[in-house]
Amino acid sequence: MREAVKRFGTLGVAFIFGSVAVWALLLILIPHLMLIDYAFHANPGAVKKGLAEAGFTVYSFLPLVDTQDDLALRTFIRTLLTSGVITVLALVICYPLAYYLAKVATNKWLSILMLCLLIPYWVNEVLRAYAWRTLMAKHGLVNQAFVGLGFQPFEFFNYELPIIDSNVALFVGLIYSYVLFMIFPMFNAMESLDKNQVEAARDLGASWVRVHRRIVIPHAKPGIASGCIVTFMLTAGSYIVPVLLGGKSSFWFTQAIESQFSVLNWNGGSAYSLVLELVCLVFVMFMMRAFRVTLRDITR
Amino acid sequence: MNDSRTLITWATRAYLVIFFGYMLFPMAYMSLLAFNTSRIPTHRDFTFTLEWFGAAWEDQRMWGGLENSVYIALLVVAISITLGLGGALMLVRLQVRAKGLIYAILVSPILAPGIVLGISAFIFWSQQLGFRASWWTAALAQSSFVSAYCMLIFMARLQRFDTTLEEAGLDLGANPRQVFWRITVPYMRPAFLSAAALAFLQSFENYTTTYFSIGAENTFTIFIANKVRQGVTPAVNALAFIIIAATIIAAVVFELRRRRREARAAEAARQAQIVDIEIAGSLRLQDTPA
Amino acid sequence: MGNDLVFNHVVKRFGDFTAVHDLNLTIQEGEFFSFLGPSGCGKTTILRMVSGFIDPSEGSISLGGQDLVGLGPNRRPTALIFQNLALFPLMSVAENIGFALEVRGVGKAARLRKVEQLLDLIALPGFADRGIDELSGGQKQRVAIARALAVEPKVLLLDEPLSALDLKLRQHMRAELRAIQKRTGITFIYITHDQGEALAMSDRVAVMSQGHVEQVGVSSDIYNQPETAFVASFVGENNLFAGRVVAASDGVAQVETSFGRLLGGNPRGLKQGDEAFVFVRPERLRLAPSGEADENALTSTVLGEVFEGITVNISLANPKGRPIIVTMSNDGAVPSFATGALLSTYFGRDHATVLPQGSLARA
Repeated sequence: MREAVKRFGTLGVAFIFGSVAVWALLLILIPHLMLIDYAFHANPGAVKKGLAEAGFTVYSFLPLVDTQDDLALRTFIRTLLTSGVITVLALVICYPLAYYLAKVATNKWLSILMLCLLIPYWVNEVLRAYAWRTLMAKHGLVNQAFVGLGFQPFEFFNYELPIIDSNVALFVGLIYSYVLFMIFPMFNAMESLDKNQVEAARDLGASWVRVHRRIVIPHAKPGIASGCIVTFMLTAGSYIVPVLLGGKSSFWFTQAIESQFSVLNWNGGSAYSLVLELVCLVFVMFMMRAFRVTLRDITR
Repeated sequence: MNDSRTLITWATRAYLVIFFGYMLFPMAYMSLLAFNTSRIPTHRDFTFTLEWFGAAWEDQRMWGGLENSVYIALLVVAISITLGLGGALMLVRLQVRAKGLIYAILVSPILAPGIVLGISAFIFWSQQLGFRASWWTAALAQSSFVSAYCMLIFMARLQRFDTTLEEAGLDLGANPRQVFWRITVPYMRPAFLSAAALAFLQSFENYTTTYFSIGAENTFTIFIANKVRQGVTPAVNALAFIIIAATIIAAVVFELRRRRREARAAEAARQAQIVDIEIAGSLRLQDTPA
Repeated sequence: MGNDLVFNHVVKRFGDFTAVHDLNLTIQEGEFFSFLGPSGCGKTTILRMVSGFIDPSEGSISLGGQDLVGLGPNRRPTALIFQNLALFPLMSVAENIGFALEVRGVGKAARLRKVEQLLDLIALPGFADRGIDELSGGQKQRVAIARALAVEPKVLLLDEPLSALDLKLRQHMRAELRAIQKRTGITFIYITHDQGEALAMSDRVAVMSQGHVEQVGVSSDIYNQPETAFVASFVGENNLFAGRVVAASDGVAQVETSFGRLLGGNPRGLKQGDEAFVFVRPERLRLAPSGEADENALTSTVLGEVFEGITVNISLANPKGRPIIVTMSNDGAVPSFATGALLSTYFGRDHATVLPQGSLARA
């Protein structure tokens, strides 16, 4: 520490410690402790009616395990399944593109394509969802094309996909909104791969599949993990895209949280938020373990 | 062999066309609808008009939201740059214990859902401390994760910082404060600029965290979302068009400037090299010590 | 006396590792003094102790009688030129050179005058507004020197500043550094692992190994009269013959080696039975028609020859496989040797040095 004071002066060291303390405590830890505290208390209304105890209780979590009224539970499962499927799909879609941009494209094409990616990336998610809302409306452009080709108009907002139970419009819109968050981390990771390694492997007789499995993927692992985490986290935590594209039946877990808040049940909302956050935490840990990467690799 | 090459090339091209079509077409279509006279956003019966730009311009709530957005973004930039720099200096330059834990805590907001950040900030500031939720509670909620992005930018630059520059400053008689302001801060300047730009944009376009922590107030993004939810007129498309156009112009200008700067630097370095080649070339053998 | 830099029993430890052992040395005012040694020998540690980035664990360093220990780098009358120069990339040449004056609160006009003066000294007039990226490697060197000279330090410390340059430019800069030192009269302390650099520029050289100063002296003494096996093998090329002293008298030792008995100077006064190395420079070996030399004759087989331009190196080996190198001046009379031919070489006893093995075994 004496070394640090010598370098930055007393004031500098005080600034460093002060800013980190304010940030960690006031903006991160204490608000979270409050959230946890709220989650483990019942809302005052329920306490007054004698439905729950006044002190520490898991009452606010109960709707999530209620088998009679399984709306919250089904919403939760739908959110996770759809987010998982979208993450995998985004990975499959983006991998070739990331590789193409990082190792194949010429400089000129790279800057043009990057610009093309930046446009939808910097347009916010509200407008991204809105664009698809217009396109997939009952008399929208996509249905007009369908009719023109001799098909029936399609109910994008009412047709639920099997298993994941989300409607088509939401599914397409979510992929559209968050696919880009998969590309950039993968691109960054692949860019640092020495192209000579790929050529050496090819030269030694490796097939393309093997080149990717043995050289490109191991190198890009942190980028892949990072892309998956961000995509999953944004999809599962998305609020406005399901609101605009979810239709009547594809309720999203964030909407369940919102509905608790709209009836001023802060405790219920906090409990649901905590569950969502826990899911994201578990997912992050799982990816770190599965890809054997550290937090620093992921946030790079 | 040659056939499979061609096949791969064509498959790549087809893939690129489909992917970028999927990414760009909705944006182009959304922009196009801003110029149609129809009262609802559709391409049918297309007749060109600019009236929706006028309608967007005259909407008072849009201006109110925009004003709030700018205030929030400026406050977020100020907070995030300060906190991000402090965090980066601690993690890169100080010998502190539990670096891994501190790092995990500070970047955790990036990996947490935006809605949770908004709600926890709302509960803490508004429910617990009793402040009215407004634009500045939203700014605090945003700052928790925007600071982390800024910190990552600062860390990346600090890790490449040649600490002998600071030593040289001390050796030449500067005190730590002078070294910090004259050497470290100027070196960090590009990072300050990109962190500020990133913080501003992140804040400006953020919806979820803001929506859950701002109480009854509006921002530009919330205004647009409300418009869309309540049934839209092409005025929203006009705003979308403006945002897209601004993005393209900014990106192109930035890229051109970067290229010009790089070309200039390369030329200067080449000129300088010639000087050395001349000196070395004019060396006579007797200059060579044993 | 004046501004002599005196090291008095200086020791520096990092944890269990001792980087510098008991250093006692006086560097005179106005001297060009080099510390020469391989990386990790402690020379950079000495430099950092003089400049004030670290303090010695024991002992004292004083300049002109003033104790330096405890003073921060910004309070010392020393200036350091870093290995990578550490020029401030975002400042112009003038801002770099004027930095030390600026932080001392010197006014702008006075600062610019001094900068102009220094730019003249380093022969870069008119470069004040250039950016650092617009300078060549050699110009950067000179700007770094000017920046360090701006505060008129009593001692200038140089940490291998030439190592990044091409060979020819490096040779040019050596002459220039030496000229600047002569002109300013400031004490230069130069750190390097490049013996050519140290020998060519310095008034005196200290050869270091593993935290010890092995020998201090003028360049020719270091080369011609090494005092330890380390110095003999580190500085310049040398043929080395290991063996045991069988007789010693009148400053001459006789050593039993795999080449037979060899005679050489005995500066360290080795006694019969001591383990020793015999060192002979390749350029001191002479060709002899087989069997004619009366002492120090080495008969061995030619392995090959390497043409170096100014010299020709012939590599040989005795029947046990021990190598010998003979360097001959390319004076137009070097005969050609067939690989495998037997060749006899010899050297006079004045050209060989017998030294204890100790310090080399430690290295």
